[in-house]
Amino acid sequence: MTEENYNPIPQPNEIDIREKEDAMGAYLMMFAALGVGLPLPILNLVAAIIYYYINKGKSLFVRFHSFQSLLSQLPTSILNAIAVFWGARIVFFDYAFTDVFKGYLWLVGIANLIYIIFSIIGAVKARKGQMYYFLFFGRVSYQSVFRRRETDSLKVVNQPPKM
Amino acid sequence: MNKNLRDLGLILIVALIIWAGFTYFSTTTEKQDLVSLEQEADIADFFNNQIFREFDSVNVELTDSVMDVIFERLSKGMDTVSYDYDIYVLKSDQVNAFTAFNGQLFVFTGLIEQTESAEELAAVLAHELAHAENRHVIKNLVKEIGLNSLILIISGGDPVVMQEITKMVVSSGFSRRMEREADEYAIQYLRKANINPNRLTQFFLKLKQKNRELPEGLEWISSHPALKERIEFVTENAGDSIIEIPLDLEWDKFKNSLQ
Repeated sequence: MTEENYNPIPQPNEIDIREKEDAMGAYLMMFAALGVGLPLPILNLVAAIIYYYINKGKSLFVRFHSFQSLLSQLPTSILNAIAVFWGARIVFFDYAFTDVFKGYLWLVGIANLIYIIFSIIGAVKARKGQMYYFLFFGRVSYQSVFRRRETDSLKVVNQPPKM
Repeated sequence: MNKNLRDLGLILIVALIIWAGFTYFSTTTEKQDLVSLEQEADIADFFNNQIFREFDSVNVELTDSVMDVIFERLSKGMDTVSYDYDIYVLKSDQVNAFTAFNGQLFVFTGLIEQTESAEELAAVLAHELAHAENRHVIKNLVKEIGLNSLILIISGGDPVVMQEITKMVVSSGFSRRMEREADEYAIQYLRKANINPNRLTQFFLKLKQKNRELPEGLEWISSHPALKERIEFVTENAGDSIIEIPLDLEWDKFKNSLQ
C-alpha cells in the first residue's frame, strides 16, 4: 500500500469551482434524500447510488466525496430501516415496546446525528476543495477511488517528442 | 486493510455500547404504576355499584363456596397474589367473564352454562386472574383514555363516564399481546395447580363450535381476537400432559342451582 499505487491527490488550487460544488452536492443531496426517505429509508440509499453513478465519470476529487457520502450513509440507512420496520411491528402488530427497542432508538438517533454533523463538515471541506476523511469510510473511499488501475496507465497515449 | 478492520470494529463496538447502555439505563416508568392500588380500590367501588345496578348477582352464599374452592386451587399455581380476590357470578345469558378493578372478577351464568366441568371454569378464571395480576385493565384504560382523564374520573366519579368505562371493561377489549400474555400466565397457573391447561383449549373449541351456531351473545370469545391463533398457542405451550387432580365440586348440581 505505498503512495505509488495511488493517484496524486489534487490540491485546492487545482480543482475548479464546478468540481468543488459537485463534491459538496454529494453531501447536501443526502439531506434532501434523508427528508424524502424518512418513511422508507431505502429511498435515500437509491438516491445516493444514483448520485454516485452520475458523478462517477467526473474527477477523482468529486468521485471520492460522492463515494464517501454514499458509504457513510449505508449504516444509518440500515439502522433507520430496521427502526421503521421494528416500530411498525409494535404499532400495527402489537409487539411489546421494550427497553431494547428504546435503546435502539437512542442508537439510531445518535448515529443520525453523527452522520449529519460529519456530512456538514464534509460538505464545507469539499466546497473549499479539501479532502476530508471520515473514520473508516474515508480511508476505504480513498483506497477505492484513488488507487491506480491497470487501465489508468493505458490512458497515457500522448507523449512529448523524443529529445 | 488492517486499519480499516480496526476502525470498523471500533465503530461496531461503540454502536453496541450505545445500544446496550441505553437499553440498560432506560427508565421505563410504567404508566399504570402511576395509578396506585388505593386509587384502583376507589375505582372498584364506583365500578361495582355500576355493575350491580346493571346486572343481578346470584345468591352469593351459593357461589362463594364454589368460587372459593376454585380460587384456592388456582392460587397455589400463582407466583404472586396481588389482590384480595372476589369472584362474583352475575345473572345473564352472555357467555362472558371479565376482570374489573382491584381483584374483582365477574362471571356470567351464561358462561358457566357452557362449561362441562369445574376445571373448565378454572381455566377461564386462570386467564382472568392473569389479566388482573398483570394489571391489564388499568394499562388498557390508561392507553384508551389517558392517565389524566382516568385520575379525574376517579376523583369525580361521574356516573355517565363510569357507565362508559363499565362498558369498556365488560367487553374487555384487550390487545392481542395482552391476551397472549394472559394465556401464557394462565397455562403456568393451571399447570402448577394440577389442572390440565388444555381445559382452556377445550373451552375455546367448544365456543368456536357454538359460535358457528349462535353468532350473538358470545362476548367472551368475540372480544378475544384470533381465536384460532390462541388455540394453537395454548396447545403448543401447554407442555407435557399432567395428571389432573379434579376439583372437589359437584358441577352439574351447581349448574342446576343457578337456574
